[in-house]
Amino acid sequence: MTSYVIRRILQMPVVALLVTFSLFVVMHALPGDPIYAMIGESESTLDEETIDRLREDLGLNDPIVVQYFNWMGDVLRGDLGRSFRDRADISQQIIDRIPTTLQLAVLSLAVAVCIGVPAGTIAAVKRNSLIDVGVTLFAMFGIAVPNFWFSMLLIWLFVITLDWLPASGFVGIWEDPVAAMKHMAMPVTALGLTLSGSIMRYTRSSVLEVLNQDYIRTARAKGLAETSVIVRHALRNSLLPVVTIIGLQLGNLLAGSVIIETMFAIPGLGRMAITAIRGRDYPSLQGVVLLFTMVVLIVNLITDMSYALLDPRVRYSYGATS
Amino acid sequence: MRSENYWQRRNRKGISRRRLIQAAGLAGAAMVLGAGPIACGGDDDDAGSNGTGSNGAGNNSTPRSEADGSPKRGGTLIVRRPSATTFADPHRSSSGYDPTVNHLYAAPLLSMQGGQLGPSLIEEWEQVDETTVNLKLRSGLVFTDGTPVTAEAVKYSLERQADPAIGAPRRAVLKGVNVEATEELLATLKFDQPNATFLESLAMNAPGGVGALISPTAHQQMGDDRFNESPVSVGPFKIEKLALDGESVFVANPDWPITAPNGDKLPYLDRVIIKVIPETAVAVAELQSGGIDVDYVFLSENVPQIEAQDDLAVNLNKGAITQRIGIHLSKPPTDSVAFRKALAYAFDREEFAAVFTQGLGGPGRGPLTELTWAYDPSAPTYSYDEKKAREHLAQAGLADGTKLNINTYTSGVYPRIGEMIQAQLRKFGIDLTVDNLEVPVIVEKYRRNGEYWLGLEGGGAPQGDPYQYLESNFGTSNQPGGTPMPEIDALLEKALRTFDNEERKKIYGEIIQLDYDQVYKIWLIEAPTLAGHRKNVHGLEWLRSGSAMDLSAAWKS
Repeated sequence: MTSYVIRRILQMPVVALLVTFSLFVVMHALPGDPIYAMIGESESTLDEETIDRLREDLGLNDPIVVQYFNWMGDVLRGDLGRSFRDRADISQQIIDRIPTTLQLAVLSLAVAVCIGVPAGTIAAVKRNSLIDVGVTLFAMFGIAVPNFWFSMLLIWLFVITLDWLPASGFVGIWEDPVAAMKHMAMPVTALGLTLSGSIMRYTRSSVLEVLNQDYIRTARAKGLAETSVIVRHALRNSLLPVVTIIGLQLGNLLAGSVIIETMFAIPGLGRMAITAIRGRDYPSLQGVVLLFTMVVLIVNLITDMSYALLDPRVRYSYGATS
Repeated sequence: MRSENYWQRRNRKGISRRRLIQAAGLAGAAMVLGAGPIACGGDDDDAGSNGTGSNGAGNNSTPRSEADGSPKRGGTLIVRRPSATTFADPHRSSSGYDPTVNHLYAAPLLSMQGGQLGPSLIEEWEQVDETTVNLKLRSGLVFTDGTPVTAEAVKYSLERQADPAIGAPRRAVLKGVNVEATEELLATLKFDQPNATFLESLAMNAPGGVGALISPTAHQQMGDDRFNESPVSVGPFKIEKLALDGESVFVANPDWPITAPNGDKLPYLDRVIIKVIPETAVAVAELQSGGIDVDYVFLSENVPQIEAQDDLAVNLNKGAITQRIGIHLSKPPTDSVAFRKALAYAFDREEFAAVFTQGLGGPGRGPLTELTWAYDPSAPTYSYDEKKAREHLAQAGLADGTKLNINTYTSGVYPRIGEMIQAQLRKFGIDLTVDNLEVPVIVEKYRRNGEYWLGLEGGGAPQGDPYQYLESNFGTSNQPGGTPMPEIDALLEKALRTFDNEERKKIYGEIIQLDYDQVYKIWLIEAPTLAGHRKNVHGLEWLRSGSAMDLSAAWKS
């Protein structure tokens, strides 16, 4: 197990290097000079001397590989550089925005799990009933519906029609919990719903599989209450693949945050990424992507480890492999 | 009273589900593609309407709200802007929306009132001779770091913006300008060449001007990057919290000495909050629900929704935006004047105006509108004439199926304008490809590399002296593909040396006549800039860039 974890940890920098280098190449291949993005159409009033000076100062005259390794060298020294767009310290910007995106992600995941696991379990227990059909349809809706579209429907209902919630902005949960929940209600619902569909489907199929196991029949034969059979025996044993799915959904969650944060004007990492893409702000985008990559890798590792913790058979297999 | 049009009838009940769904679709597409700029409405611009070349006064707005009444003191004004402020440093801002923010804490040296220069931090100015100007600062002005505002600060600020390392968008106007701090409050500008229009640049901060003053002490202590995070200047408000991509809070500066025309102490408001909301549909919802007070980047298609709600109104700045087609003048077939004239006659501008401004704007007539004193109503204009268009096409010797391409922005009304251009040219057998591009791509491919025959352009019309605007539209330095414009350059040079406004107006008239004769641009639409606001908000004024607002005299009833 230990050697497996060490191996996975050693793989992380290699993956991060591949991801960031690929991104660096793709960003540079895109048409549109970052200098022109930075100065916008005031380019028409800027003289060549100024443009050349800016390009030189930002290191854009160096070959791409040199630019990449300069950036990587700075990263290894703990410096993500400064934004092309506004010359802000990227590390600080990321640190400032992590709590925002974390709040959105954690609450969305909580919503997704709170909807997905119970609904999936009920659908499995009530297999082939109207409830099952309803839950399955709901899951399909959650998976299929684009979250920006669903966001607009929520805004139409809760902002324009009912006037219950603010349509934009962010309040930290530690600053004002009530205001924070009001601001988070729609973004979290929109993001959580799309995730809940997958969780619901996996929970349903997993619970269904477990319900057909001999030990469930045994539990029922012993006269245990149905609730106890479902919750204590079926659900607990069927959660293993669901945990994996929740871990794997993190990538979707971060991708969704890019859309949701832009939609609801939440100043988090997702919006930072969008602003960076539009502005050809290579260092800012590299910083956000590096962070997202590391988070996904670490969470996947934790998911794999939790697998082993939850299921002794997996732990033994790790031991055998190593 | 304006008659109710289709848009009003359709939207009288407020935002519809269908519109929301459309907006959602557009929002999603914009997010995927990465939205570009706007002018007459778009939802996310960093540069599209940055007032390149626009000049003039900002109080030509036509408030469609109720009468203002007596100003009241106090309150917080929440204002939406669609994109993050580029630089808080008022010397480096590059988005056309930035001046709404940077004028709060960094008042420019001069102001624009009714198309004429007015005092601001500079109390009096004197054109000593053709190459010398004296600027006398108000006494008692203090930067927010407590240091006094002196002529040395004027010298420091202008020299800093002349440094190419800063990247000040209007650096070019400072070439050949030497600044001396003659006395504590008296700065003297000496020009290498006569410059009749320079002072207008002091009535606006970047990106449209070089008028912002910063504290030399604070800047020297902080350096450029830290100064950008916490700029020190002087204005009607002070910075309480600065979040370029979130909510910034500004509080009234109790020491601000400049008063309203009626003698009232300014500002009236206690606080201004600038809130970044990228999506237009969300901003409209916020306005309707009371989450914001003002949205100064408003789309004309949303006006009926606002007017249908009793507590909302629209502030309209007519003729503030011109939407036009730029042309590569040295690339066949658009190098042919006959062909360009055919294009000029081929567009039904009334239809463009009806569709894209919902009757709030009008057909494009030429470079200038009534917002500038240089506007001449007798200037020649093109209008739709199918017969003449075909005659000129025949004269140019171009057969059916002539292929052209045009670039436009990815957001706002621009992609749809591109489609209508395509449709109208199809009638004449011209096969037009429309590419929706982001700003940096447009700058690179269209302006620099000359890869397009046509480019859909939009930006603030001149309000005041149109020199910069005419230069950015017709001067050699800004032509797609670098086409030389010697006649125009000579006239612009002559205008700079002409201090009499009437004489300068004649020179501008010659430039406009050349544009008509040679069809350098095709002027399609005159669109207004719009601000949706709550009816209890008053005193909103447009800055001369046309796409930003002056909130220093705003108040809430």
